[in-house]
Amino acid sequence: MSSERLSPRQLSVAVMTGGLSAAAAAAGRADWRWLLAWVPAGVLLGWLLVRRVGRRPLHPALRVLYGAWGTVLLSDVLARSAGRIQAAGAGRGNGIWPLLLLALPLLWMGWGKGAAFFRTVEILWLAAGVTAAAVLLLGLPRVHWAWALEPAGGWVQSLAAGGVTLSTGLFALPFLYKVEEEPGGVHRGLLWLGGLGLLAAALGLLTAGLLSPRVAAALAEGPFFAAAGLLGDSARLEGLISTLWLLPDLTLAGLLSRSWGEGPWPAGAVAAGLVLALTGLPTLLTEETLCLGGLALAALTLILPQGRGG
Amino acid sequence: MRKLLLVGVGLAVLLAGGRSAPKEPEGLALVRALGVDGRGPVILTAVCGGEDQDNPSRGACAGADFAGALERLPWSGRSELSLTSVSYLIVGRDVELEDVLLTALRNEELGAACTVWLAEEGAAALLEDCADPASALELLERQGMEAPTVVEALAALYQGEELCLPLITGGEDGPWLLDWEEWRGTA
Amino acid sequence: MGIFGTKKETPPPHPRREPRYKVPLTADGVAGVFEGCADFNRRTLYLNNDPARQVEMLFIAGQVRNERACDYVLRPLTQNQALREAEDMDAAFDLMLKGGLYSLVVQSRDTADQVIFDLLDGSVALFFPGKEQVLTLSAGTEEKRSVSNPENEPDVKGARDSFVESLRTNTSLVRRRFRAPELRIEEQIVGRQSVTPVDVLYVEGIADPDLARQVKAKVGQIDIDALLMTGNLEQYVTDESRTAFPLTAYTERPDRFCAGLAEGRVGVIVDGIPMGWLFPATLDSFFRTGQDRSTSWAVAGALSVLRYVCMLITLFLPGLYAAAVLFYPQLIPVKLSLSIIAAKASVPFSTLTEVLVMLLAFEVLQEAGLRLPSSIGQTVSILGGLVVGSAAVEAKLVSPAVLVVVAIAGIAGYTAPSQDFAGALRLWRFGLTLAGGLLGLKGLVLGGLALVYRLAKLETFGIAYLTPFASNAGRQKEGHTVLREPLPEVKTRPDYLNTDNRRNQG
Repeated sequence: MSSERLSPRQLSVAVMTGGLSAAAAAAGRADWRWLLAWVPAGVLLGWLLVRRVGRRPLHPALRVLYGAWGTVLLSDVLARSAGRIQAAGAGRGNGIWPLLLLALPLLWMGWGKGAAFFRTVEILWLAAGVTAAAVLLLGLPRVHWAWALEPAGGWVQSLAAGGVTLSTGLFALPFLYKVEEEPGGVHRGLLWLGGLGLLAAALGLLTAGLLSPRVAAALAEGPFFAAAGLLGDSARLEGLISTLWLLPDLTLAGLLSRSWGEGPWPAGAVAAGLVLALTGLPTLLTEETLCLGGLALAALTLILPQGRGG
Repeated sequence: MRKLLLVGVGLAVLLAGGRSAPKEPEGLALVRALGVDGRGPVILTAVCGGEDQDNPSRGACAGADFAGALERLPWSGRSELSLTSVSYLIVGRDVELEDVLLTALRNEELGAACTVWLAEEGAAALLEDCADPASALELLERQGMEAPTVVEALAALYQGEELCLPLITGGEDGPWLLDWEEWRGTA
Repeated sequence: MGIFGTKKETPPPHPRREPRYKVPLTADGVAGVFEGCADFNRRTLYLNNDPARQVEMLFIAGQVRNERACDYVLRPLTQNQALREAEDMDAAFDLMLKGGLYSLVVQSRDTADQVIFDLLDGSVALFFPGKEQVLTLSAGTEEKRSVSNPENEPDVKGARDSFVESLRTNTSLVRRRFRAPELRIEEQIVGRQSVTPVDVLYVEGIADPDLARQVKAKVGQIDIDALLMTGNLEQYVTDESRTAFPLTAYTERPDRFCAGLAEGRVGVIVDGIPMGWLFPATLDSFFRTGQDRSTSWAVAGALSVLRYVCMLITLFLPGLYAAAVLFYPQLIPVKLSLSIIAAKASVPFSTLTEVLVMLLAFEVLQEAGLRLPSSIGQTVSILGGLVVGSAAVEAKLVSPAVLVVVAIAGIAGYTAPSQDFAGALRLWRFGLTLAGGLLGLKGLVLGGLALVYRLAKLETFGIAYLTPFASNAGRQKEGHTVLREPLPEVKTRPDYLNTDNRRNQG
């Protein structure tokens, strides 16, 4: 039987693909320059965390914290994507059914092996990567550069959005001990993290350039996806892109659920996240709260003792 | 057991009406030009185009505001009107333009790419006179006329910049371009 | 008692009888096993025409080749002077065992089971009165289909021979191409009633010894009545039986088979089945053709990309059409939307029903085309296509757009080199169409995710099915996956095969 070892690429790709979910949510609401500023800071923080954790499993106390915070973030991802698909479906019915619909594949994947999940993500990255590349290629020639250079969002909100996007990388740490050693594997992983930051900035620039920051701010939900509606010449693509972006959403949710461990535990995390989403907790979470939570988790990872073995 | 549980939940989602209602294409008429007049009540005039050059489907309705009128519009013609292909948003001088544009942008059917035009004598009057406004406006665009999109118009309004809209007037074979006019919203 | 009928019971134990035939090792004992069989024959022969020295000869007509039995057994038995001059029957036995008779394979047997199965293999058995051993001499007939062109894997520039039903002929086709003495051919018998020889082939020093061990163990574990069809091997050798996707790659071409052995895969050939299997099989195995190595890397790469794109088209196009028309018409260009609306005006069925019925009709046509004799199959297929196509559209039973979509999806599916894989794609196409028609684009995306995850869970012989698109056991493939590199640049064997010798050229 295939071992449960992961390749460096699998982990990097999971972070990149999952990070695209947060990046799309941030695009249009945060200034892309602050997102860009996060790149070196995020890579440096990532390097420190990887050195600290090394090839050991996380300390049990830290695992609990990761599990708890992962569930909170999972509820936010579920609520965000359910809201988006409900809006696309003319908003009929209440919010329970889209949440359940999205939870189904997560429950199925959560009940299976981690290796199968990460292999799935490698394939989903192909679809998500092609979609992101197509969006950028179609959109950049249409950008109004005057709009793109206008300030967007407050600096606090923008910093928080960048932090939330790059904090996806935190949830790779519980898996580091399973990654097959490869020369340059860590560096490549950090490059991928930096790439995520650059991509997030690019999507932010694109949204600002297509919609203008003020129009984007007036659109409460998903200005990035509204901007995607301007990309097609003969057909409107925002629905297709919005639906394809479910793949990064579910990747992120799956990665967060795996912070609960192996076996049936990730399914339990999904169920817990679903319950939290149904209670309306995500509506209380601001971007600043999410960023602070991520930073606190990173700080605790650096401070608390590490696990044994590996 | 696990598979049964997942399938059961999936079926529950489907059967309990958790899915959006599909719309079969037959009997649908695609609105190409949408006229907006007034700021309370708001009057909408819709004209389809393309499938029947002689007699495109039309519809008209009113609502307390633009969003309210949009909800009533699909049932206001002899066929069900679909707003997914609106390319031309024609406004009268008396509309609450910012509200109209923002609602259009947020509306999942209307979208961001349709262009905005200003009707000299009001959108309803212009559209009633024109046999096929969509084809005529398309011809104007092919001749180099670049009307602002919903996004461009709204961005100009938000930034307090000058917003120039193509001023058009109607007729049997129209509409035709009269001039470009700076938008000054009526109080 | 179950709800719909008798409850499924636990099957009773199925122990093997050892020995299978508890009969004395005499001509009478063995003849008793074949009592009543019309093709069983028994003769008493005089050694060199000496009535004092008799042997009983048993054989099965049809299994034995008459000329061989006569020229290589009967003639020397009755005419060989040396046999006449042998001291006693023991000396004669020894003489016959060591070359007195002219068969290539002469064996001394001491159990009834061995003699019985040798008879069934086409040997002649000689019973010596009072002797505890029996001589069996190979004189089997070699009636078989002659080596012909591969029907299902044509190649413009490649070899024109294909496997046949005879195991030994097939292994000789392999040996002729693979003359390395390191090629191992290890035989096992599978099937309690069919007693089918199965050969496991691998190249020692290249193939992973653990993989070879696993394959041999899996073949050895098959405990069935008869190995007659391909499924009797394929579905027993893999761990996953509940999947539509094929987990074993097969070929009817000896050159492709040998190419797989050279890569480090382990091959299996079964007597009576004209194909060879290669293990492990991964997703890309089903998208390669024999032509890929015969054409230039650019052409091969372009065709490879085309096959993968066609796989996506065949899976998603009908569902995308249903989702777009029903839930998201903005996705369709306006002019096309208008034409779809106009065409659909008089069609009484819903869009989803139309698409599903057309997909079903496509499958029916295909299945009917396979079952019909070739002389009328083509005519019926054309008629069926015309009827389903033109007449159905004229009668407003379906709209032309649906017909075009289903036709494109169907034809795209035929670009998959593996029919088994194409069959799985067709099955999933139905599911994805249903998902798209009921839930729209999100149903299609979630269905696609389900498909990818299902494939990600599959493993064959410990290797992930999605290799090399996904990492396997912590190792990722760097370099080209879809596009083929020029052959001089492919210096190593695939990493996931864990071959003993990684380098494959200088």
